[in-house]
Amino acid sequence: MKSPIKAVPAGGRLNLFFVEMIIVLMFFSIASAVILNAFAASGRLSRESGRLERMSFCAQSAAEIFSETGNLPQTLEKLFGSNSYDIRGGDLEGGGYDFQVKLPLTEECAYSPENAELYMLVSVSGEEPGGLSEMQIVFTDGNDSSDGEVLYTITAGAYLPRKGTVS
Amino acid sequence: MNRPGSGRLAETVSSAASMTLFLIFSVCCLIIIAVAASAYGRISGNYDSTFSSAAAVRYITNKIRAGESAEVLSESELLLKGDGCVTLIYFDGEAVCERLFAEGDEPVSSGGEKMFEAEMLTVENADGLIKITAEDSGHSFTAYCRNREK
Repeated sequence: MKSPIKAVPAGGRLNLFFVEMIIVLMFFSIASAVILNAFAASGRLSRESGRLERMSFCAQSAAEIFSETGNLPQTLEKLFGSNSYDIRGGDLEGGGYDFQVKLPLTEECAYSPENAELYMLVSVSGEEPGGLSEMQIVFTDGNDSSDGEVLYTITAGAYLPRKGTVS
Repeated sequence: MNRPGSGRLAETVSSAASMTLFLIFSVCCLIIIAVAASAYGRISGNYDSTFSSAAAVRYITNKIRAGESAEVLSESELLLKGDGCVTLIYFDGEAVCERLFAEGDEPVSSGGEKMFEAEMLTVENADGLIKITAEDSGHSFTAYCRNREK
């Protein structure tokens, strides 16, 4: 059975409106695919910029606290609350001054080992109190077993006050 | 050979198909507009909630770093001392405000210029550091800043 829907009906006259609508719909579907992609990308970028803003606040606060106290555990305690950190490769008892800490954080930059969405790596290297110490803070989105993509990095230097002994 | 009336039927069906295509086009347009409005609303809301409170906190921390000293007068009032003048930053219940005074004048937390809209602003002294928290649209930002005045 022949379809009665024809671009060129039996009379021989071309149904221009029908052809035009098909072309319009084709262009429209291509344009919508591009636009919807752009909407999704802009939404993702907006969320990403909010997350970066939080990371920068968190890192700057950590640098400010560290330069005041000169003590990494105190810095983390002030930032995230008491005992909310895991010291890895640190030498707290031995009297060394090089530390590395990896903290699981939520998107809001709150300490949360259960709902970790990003990780904050803090490494401190330096001299004895009274000398220059360098602190590097790196935010990554990797899980516990991999390093992941680096999202934000900040390096701060500070002369440690003499009171800031490691304890 | 065509049966009588079949040409008219084809024309009617063809017109109906064209109209259906036009209807699909209109519906798709409406869907795209709705999605665009929703995406714009989401981005705008996220921007407002994130950047209004973040900008307030960043502004205050920059002021503290640029000033000679800072003094926390109350939970929502911060006095910054500079060259020959003092700046009072306070929260009036709706926005973060700022007012300049000459040195020696009594700072009053009214009549200042509204800087950033916020739902809450708290300023605390925390062992030589100043903790600033601003909240807007349910999102809060906190920053610590060293106080030069000990």
